[in-house]
Amino acid sequence: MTDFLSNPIVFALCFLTLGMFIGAFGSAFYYKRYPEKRIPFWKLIITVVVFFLWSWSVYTDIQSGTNNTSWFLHVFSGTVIAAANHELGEKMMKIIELVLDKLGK
Amino acid sequence: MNHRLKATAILAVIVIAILYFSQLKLKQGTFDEQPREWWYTYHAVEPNKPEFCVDEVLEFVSDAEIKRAITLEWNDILFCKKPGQKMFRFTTNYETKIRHASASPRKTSPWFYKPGAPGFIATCYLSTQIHGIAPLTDDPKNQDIKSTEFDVVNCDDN
Repeated sequence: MTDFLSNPIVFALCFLTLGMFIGAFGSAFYYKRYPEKRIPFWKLIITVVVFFLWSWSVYTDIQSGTNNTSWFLHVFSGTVIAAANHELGEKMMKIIELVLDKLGK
Repeated sequence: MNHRLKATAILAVIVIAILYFSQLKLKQGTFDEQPREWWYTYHAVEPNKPEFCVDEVLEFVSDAEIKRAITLEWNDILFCKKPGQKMFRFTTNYETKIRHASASPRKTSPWFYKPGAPGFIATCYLSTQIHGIAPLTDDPKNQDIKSTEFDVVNCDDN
């Protein structure tokens, strides 16, 4: 853990890879399920870039032993990622509605 | 509310919560795991001269390196033995309450031990217990360090 965190390039690449993996996996899954709704590539790029910026801020906090990442960055990152992937939100809403319907009956 | 907006808002709340709690846990885990040396190191706490007078205010010099900002508390305990005694005994102590220490390179800092030297001739040493409180963790980062021995003499004889 310590070795992993002590190298900023390894840390950044891990986060970047994780972000791209999540994005690529998510979009591939979505595209296969809904081929008529192609997710634009720029949405994936925005998601990865914002996730990378957020992870970089967290990384600098960890390296300096502080907790300085502002609430604004968490909220901004979360909102941008959610807005860029609103299809996922809509899908999630359908699942929630389905579950609520089932519970209602 | 527009269906898409509502879905995005719910997703945003979930993503923000995941981001916030994951970074919090990552930091807590990392800060817990780091040894005391990752935060600070006291290389030495030494008297600024080999001999003090009875009841004189003691001056020490700390040689410390604060690698990352941390909150510190100090408990300095003076142990002394009178001539002829074999064992050092607790004499006085001096607690410095919580103080935020900013990151700084290795440097020496003089400071005064306020209770001062004992009112009798003795050989003494100072034992310093440093209690470090790192952010986001309850795991203390402590260090104990002892000074070299020094003499307390009766200066009125000179």
